[in-house]
Amino acid sequence: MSMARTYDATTRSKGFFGHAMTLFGYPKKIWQNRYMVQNFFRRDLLSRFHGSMLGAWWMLIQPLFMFAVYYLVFGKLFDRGTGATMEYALYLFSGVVLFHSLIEATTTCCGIVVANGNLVKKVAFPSEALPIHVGLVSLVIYLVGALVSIAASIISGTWTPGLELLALPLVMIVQFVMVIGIGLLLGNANVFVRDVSQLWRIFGLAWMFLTPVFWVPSMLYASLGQDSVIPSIMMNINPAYPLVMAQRISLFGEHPVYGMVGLWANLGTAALWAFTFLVLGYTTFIANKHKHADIV
Amino acid sequence: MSQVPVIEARGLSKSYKLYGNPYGRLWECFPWNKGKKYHKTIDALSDVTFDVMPGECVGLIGTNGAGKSTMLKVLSGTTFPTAGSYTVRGRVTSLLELGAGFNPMFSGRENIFMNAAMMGFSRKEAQAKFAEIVAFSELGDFIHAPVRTYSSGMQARLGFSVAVATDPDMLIIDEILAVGDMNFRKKCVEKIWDYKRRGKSMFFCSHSLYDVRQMCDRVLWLRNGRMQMLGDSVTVTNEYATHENKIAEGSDEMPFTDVEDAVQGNSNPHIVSSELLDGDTLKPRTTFSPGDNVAVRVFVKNPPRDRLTLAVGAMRTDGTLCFAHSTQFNDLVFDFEEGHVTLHLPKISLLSGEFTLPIWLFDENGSHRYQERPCHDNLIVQNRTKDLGLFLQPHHWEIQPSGQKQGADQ
Repeated sequence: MSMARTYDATTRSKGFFGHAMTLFGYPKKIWQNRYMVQNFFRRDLLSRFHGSMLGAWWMLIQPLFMFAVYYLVFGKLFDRGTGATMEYALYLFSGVVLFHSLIEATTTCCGIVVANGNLVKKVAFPSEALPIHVGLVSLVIYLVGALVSIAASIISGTWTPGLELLALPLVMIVQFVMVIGIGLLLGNANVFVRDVSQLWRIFGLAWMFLTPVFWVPSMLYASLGQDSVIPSIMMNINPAYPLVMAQRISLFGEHPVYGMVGLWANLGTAALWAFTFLVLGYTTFIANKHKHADIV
Repeated sequence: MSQVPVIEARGLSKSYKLYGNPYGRLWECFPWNKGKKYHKTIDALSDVTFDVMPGECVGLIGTNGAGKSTMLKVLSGTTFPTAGSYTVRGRVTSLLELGAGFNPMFSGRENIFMNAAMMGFSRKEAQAKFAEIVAFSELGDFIHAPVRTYSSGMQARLGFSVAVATDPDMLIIDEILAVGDMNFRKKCVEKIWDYKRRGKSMFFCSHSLYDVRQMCDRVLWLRNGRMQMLGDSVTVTNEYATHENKIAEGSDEMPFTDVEDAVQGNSNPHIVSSELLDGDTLKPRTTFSPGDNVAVRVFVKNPPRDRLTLAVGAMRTDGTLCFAHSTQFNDLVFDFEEGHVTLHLPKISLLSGEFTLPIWLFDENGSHRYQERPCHDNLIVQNRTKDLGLFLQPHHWEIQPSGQKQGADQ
């Protein structure tokens, strides 16, 4: 009898700090349940293409077509007359790919406890591991998109990836941690107030337009004036901003015209945001986890 | 040898908050709503303390809503107590929600691996168990078909097979499982008994006092979430039966499944016929008087030569079980292919009335019911005396006016 499971209702109330300290054991817990995470991961990927003829090829076809559309619509149709059609299409595409995977994963995580209510109610398992596979799937989807943008950039000769590309795994780790953090935060909140998942959809859309996905930071100053403080506020309080920029720099190198400067500063800020979300999300999730089965 | 309990429950309490509207919970969070109550509290369990020792089977009884299900859920770790503590040592498997984690889109095979993963298995362990699970579930090639194409019986079979394949140190069971067809049900019951024999612990919840008595060493009786009694199974089930004002094994738990079983009963052990006999002449007779000798003869066919036990009871028309005797209670097991078993009832003490005689054909543990059917003849007792009641209690009278010493005037 190696395993012993103890639960004591009186010692449970550890406070925020007490629960936060168990975060150190989180990676170990995930590792112990890696086979479960792996199964969830596989199932998630399989169910996406379940029954479709092209199967997993859709993972590649989708970003390829998306890129073609961005190139034609934003590059050619709404040509800004700069002549940098391909550059702008790549800038757009890389931003969309990252943001899309971020929003999709957090939205999935938001409903994940409720969606797995059947399991949460009836099977004793570590539900805090639920967002992990969602984060992993989003990384896979992002990676395919990133590879498409690198390939497009090399083939068209627009940008040649430099040494910064080596930082891409770091960017992905930060993105992963951010997804898990936000995912745990929302997933727990949504159990108690179901409106969270609806609100998150609206918020996600607003967030995308407030992040330099479709626009270039310099366009803000052009419309709001050089002295305006709004652009810098918008960028400093937006966790996605440093992440999006860091990944663009890592893919294409620095380009001041597009606001792509300072890989490490951006990556560091993004990592700080991600870690904050992880602490907040994990702690609230763990502190309230014991109520989930009764409410879901 | 000092043993560490498999389950240590100390003052377990569980209360549920019921909110009138879904936002009551949210409103309560706001400081300006301090002191206002938006919920009703329901105490499902209060202050339950007990131990389950290794190798022990503890039963759980109680009426509907007594907190049995909550108790099982707390022990399986899906819901958590609001007060008290518990420790569970070793791997615990619950046979509460068979196949709860199944995803209908995926094949049985996929679901086996998923389920095993959720129970904390590694890939190696899961792969090692896979063949055993498929073999036990008898699903054959269906294992590659999506679970949504399964019948409910197939799903339950798969669920049971996965659950028991985990080889737990402790089984949590909600009712003896009536899963699948006759043969599979027998396999399930045998598997559970196999665990018991191998010295594994069990926590067994059932409405059938008979099953609880057969399986359990000790019984915990819950009443309105509180411990009413904890003790050896016969004492507690008797107390419970008296308290709930119902004779143990009343008619409501003994539905006769005669028709169905008679049709399919060719290759399984089954009752061919039964008759009521005069205990002396062994000639058919149905009307008796108290004090007569009665015999009940049951003809049994047992093509697979399973080890069987047989029980015969007498039930008054209002469903009161007057007596029931099983060969199993007397450690008599038979495995003939064809033959008869006769229950001799010398000097019956039943008083006037008509009694149906239910007959049960069990496996050797008295757990799996092959067949339940009433005896072909009803027992009719006609009273020659004026005594009232159910049975003739041996008695004598003594009449003694006060103030006179017994035998004084002799």
